[in-house]
Amino acid sequence: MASNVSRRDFLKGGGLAGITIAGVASLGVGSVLGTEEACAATATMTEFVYTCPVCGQHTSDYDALVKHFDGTHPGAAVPQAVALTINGTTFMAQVEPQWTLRETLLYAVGLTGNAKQMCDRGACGSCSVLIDGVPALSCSVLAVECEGRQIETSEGIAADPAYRPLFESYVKHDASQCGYCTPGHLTVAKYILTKYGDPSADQIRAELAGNICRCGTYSRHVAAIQEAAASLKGGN
Amino acid sequence: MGETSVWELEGRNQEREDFKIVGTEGHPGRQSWDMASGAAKFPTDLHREGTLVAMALRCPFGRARVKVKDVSKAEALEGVRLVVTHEDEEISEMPRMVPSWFEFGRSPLLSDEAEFEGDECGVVVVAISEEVCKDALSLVEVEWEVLPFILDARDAAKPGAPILRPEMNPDSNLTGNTFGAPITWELGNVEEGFKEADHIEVIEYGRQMWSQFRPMPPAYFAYWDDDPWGNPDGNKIGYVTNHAHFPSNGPIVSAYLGAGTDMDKYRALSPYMAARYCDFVEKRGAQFAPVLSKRLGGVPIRYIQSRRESFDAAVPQSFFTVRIGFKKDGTLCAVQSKNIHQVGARGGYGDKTHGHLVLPANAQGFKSTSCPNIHSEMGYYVTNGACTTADPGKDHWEPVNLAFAKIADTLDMPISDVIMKNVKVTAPSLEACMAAGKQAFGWDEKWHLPGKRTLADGRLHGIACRSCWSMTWGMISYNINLRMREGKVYMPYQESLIGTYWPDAAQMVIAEETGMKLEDVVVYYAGHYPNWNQGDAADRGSTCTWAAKEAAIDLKRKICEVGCTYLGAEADEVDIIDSMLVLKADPSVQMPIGATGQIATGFCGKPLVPFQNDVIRTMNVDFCEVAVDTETGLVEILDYCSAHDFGKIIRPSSGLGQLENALTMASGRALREELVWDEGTGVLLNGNMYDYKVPTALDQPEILTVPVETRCGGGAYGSTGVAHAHCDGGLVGLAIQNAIGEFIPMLPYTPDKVLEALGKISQGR
Amino acid sequence: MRNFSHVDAASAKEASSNASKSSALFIAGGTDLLGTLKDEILPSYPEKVINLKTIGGMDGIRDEGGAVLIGALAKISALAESDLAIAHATALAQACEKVASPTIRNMATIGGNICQMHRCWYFRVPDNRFACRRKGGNYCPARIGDNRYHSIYGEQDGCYAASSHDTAPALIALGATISTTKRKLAAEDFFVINGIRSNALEADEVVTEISVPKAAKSAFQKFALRKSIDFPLVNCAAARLGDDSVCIALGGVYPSPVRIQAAEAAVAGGITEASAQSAADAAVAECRPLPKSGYKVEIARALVKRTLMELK
Repeated sequence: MASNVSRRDFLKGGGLAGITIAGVASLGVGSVLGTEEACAATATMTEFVYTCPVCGQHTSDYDALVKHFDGTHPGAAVPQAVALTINGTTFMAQVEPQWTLRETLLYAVGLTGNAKQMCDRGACGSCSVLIDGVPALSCSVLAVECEGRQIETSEGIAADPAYRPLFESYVKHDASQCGYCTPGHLTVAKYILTKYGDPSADQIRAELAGNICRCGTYSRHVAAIQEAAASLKGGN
Repeated sequence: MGETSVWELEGRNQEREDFKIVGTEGHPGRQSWDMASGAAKFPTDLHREGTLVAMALRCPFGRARVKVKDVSKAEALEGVRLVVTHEDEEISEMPRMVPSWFEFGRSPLLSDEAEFEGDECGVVVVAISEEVCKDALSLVEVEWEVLPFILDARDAAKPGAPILRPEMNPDSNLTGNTFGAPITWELGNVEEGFKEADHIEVIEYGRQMWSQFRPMPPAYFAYWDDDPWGNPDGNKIGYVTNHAHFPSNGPIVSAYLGAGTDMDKYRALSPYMAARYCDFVEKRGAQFAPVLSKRLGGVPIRYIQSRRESFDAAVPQSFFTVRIGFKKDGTLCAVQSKNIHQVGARGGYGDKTHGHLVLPANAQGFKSTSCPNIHSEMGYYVTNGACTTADPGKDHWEPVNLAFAKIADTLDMPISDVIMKNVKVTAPSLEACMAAGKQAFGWDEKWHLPGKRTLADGRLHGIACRSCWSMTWGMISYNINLRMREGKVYMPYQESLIGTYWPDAAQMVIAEETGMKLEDVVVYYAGHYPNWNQGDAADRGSTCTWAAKEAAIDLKRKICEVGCTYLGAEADEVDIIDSMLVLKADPSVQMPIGATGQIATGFCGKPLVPFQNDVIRTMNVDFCEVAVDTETGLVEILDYCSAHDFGKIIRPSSGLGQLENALTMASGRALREELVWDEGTGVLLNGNMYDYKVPTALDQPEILTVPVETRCGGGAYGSTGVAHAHCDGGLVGLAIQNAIGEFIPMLPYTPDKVLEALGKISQGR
Repeated sequence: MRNFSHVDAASAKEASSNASKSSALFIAGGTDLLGTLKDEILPSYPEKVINLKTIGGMDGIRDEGGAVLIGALAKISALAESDLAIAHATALAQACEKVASPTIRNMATIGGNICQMHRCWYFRVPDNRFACRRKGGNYCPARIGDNRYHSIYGEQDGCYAASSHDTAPALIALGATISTTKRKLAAEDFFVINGIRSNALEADEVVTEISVPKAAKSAFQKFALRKSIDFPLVNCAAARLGDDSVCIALGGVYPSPVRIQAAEAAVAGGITEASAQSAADAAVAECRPLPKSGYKVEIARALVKRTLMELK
């Protein structure tokens, strides 16, 4: 069952475990190499395959993987498969029980906007994703606990034309300096827009108070989010 | 009272007034979309199937020597791919070459000696996961010999202190823990100066180690793959992540030095490296990762450096005792300054992990006053604890402004007047900043004598201002290559972004000078472009625009020379307007410049300014307002106002953003941020983001930015660097003094120190 | 993080019995637990992590006549925004509003907040650099080391850490009762025990519900260096109870949160500026700060007075 999906769908869904995705780095939106259209590409998705993290052997079903571990790597921890719904697409990913969602986004999914490691202890907000619409720290959630929940990342928000004004105001106001914490801020920004509609500066600062920016861009986020709110309200 | 800066702008079109693009708003940064969406891949985001993880043994003691007795159990563990020890021949020889800017070094990358808690030593393992690495490291049999350590530079300076690094004083005529002889600098005759003084006072200023705090822990990623150009030597290319901005491509340089592979066999993997504000400390992982990968046939390796381990570099401690003599009118007549400055666990570039040594003597600040008699002594003292790196702030201006505050306090004058009386060159830049800043801040209405104003909520109110200079980075040449092809102008660069918008500023200057539309100037990251000497941080980025301007003028000339024949005119008779070649006499006659074919040019050079200015041309004045809760000792910075002379502001949004950045950083530095070690064991206590307190959105003070443009800088059109000048915390201390009437001699100004200054508690150091 | 097996619990009872069979830890919001596992600060690493979030019906905030009943899985943010809590357990709602950061409040639960381990930086240094008293060692490194964030009321069985739950003083001042799979405990008794935990729970014991008697008036104050993310340096809650008596509790001043009866006595005759000041002075009269924690005495003094003045 091979299927072709557009690049946009693919970005929304993320990659699959075991498949290296070249070019996921570029969303196309104003990126270095050109327009979104120019970057359009297709990726071929195949059926889920387990990869033994110890020796790299592939197995097509979970029982075979367990058997492989019993026989070849007794004592080693057997990975699990988890169905994750990310940016509206549900797919399988191979994880270990102790993997956080952040590690999973980085190693098994390939969507790294909110896989940022700043503190990895919940004290910086760089890894913020939306889970069921509410900001959550992907470094402090186990991937195996995310089944059945709606996960949204900065890439998903970027691929949603409805939130184009948010991106436009973010780039207009230089809301990024070094850019490392920006995707985490941006996912919280979407939540702020949905929660308040027309947020005040104080509300924005209070909601962003778990997101650390060493470059001190906080006031830029306030300006950008308020401008995006006005433009979303105006129906742009 | 001060002198006037007299000098001429160097280079072509420096005095341009008819700006179409420079100074205008609304030009999103080229990489901003990718940074906001998460499409931007930072080094920590890179992952390939089959990536292995490398981790080093970390020292649990303040300083120790390790004896690696047996690694066989680690090697036998399932999932372990490689175990190397400090006795490994290749590893122990790294780095084998030391470039000129490394002050000293040549010590092995991985040795049996660890100089601080968390230092890498003895063993590195490579395995399929972090968990397996940890298990493997715990299976390595080691024996630790704990050695004496020092955390405070003042302790290192004491007679009888343990000598931490005897090899640093090979001359043997020096004793103790100094790195080199204390530097002295003298002007006039200080003792005579003190005789003339109406008042003599002593000021104390000190600061603990402060971390610029890089948002991204530098997790190095490297692999080897086929040479895409198929060079006949058959060697593979090493792909590595880039984490250093100066010298750019630090890891590449380091890997080259270490592995002895040709420099052109390395490629940077990412144009992003996240903020590293003057943190030049290069990690061992940068050198290890490519070597370990090579050993394993080129497989991708991630060398793990955790958040806590990333606190292994910090801005050094500095302690000043300054005796000042001044006259009744507030002018300085004598300064005697003694400074104990820290050199951390790694004393300079190139030494294992490359700590950075701030070179110029810290007399620079007082040198820029009109005081005729100055004696300054500064010594660097070696400690453990962490590597030291550069200070993004202008630390030597802190005691100068403290001296001004002391004079102001003694004579019941506003510090603003003392600044204007004592800074050597005040016109035009300082005068302009002081006037604009005072007005915007409302200084005259807000100023009061110390302790004289209480706010409605019962807190004490205080204000202060301080002056500082901005830097035109004239130390290096800037190398700009421009290529016009199919109607667009391209400028490649290879410096990873660290948080400034310098490529975008360069783009605006190039568009201005060539006559191209902004969107037809493409400034792009080229990972394979072996050219390092461009911009990066605030100072170099702004100075780089000068070279971009010169290159753009050359390119435009060439395009006109080729294109004029198509319009039947001479080169002087044509111009480029909005990307079109036009006949000056009849602008309706025009053609796309792309029709002239491909035209390229290069410019390498720098404006004729010294690296560190003795005579300051571009200045800035920061103002600050605080409220002090005298019951709890909590200080709140109500607002900052920064009047900054940009010389010429090129990209306003990022220029002002630099001020917000630096002042937010300064607020954290003033109120909360310092690295804390356990004195008994040398173990870092606050290496996490709960206990190391970077300001949040709710902690950011109001920041009012007041741009001033005197065209006095050395960059394009007289522009100059921005952020460095504002990264110090001392101003807040001066405002606290205005509130409570007492100076606090040590940063950060935490409640314990404020309550102690208020006499409510007494605590020993 | 090192490997563990992960199971979802269907009920608190099942979670408890599952935990009694092997070395296990419970996870709810996970914001504290995962950090302790990543840093490997616990004496032993669990074989199993039992997810409590899958237990149904344990996250409610209900009106039970004289009390507000709070399920252990209720989110901190839900409590901060709960009209019921704001009206009848004001100090608790205010405390919840001040916990950590907005994102953590969305994830963390009230049960988890009262079960979090100490934030003492010696206790928390990764890889157990210090075999401290709480971990069964024979000394407290903070006592002779950097104790700027530590106890001002002396030690508890040799430990000088300071409690760090924002909700704890509020629960004590309000006279809350904490139900577990095994028993009911007064909040005041829940927090006092020394050891790796910050509370009296046994290894297989799960907090199920908290009952907070309604108080006509209560208030909470927190002192921290930053306005978000930080754990409290000192926090204080005070409540006017049904019999018009006042109950005051401080956190961040001792290894467990403490009820300050000396201060309560000072305002027994009513709260005025002067009686609040006497209460504040009485609250810190017995303090024995460490060399670097003396300033916290002044902060505690100020907080007791300010919190009481809110009850006026």
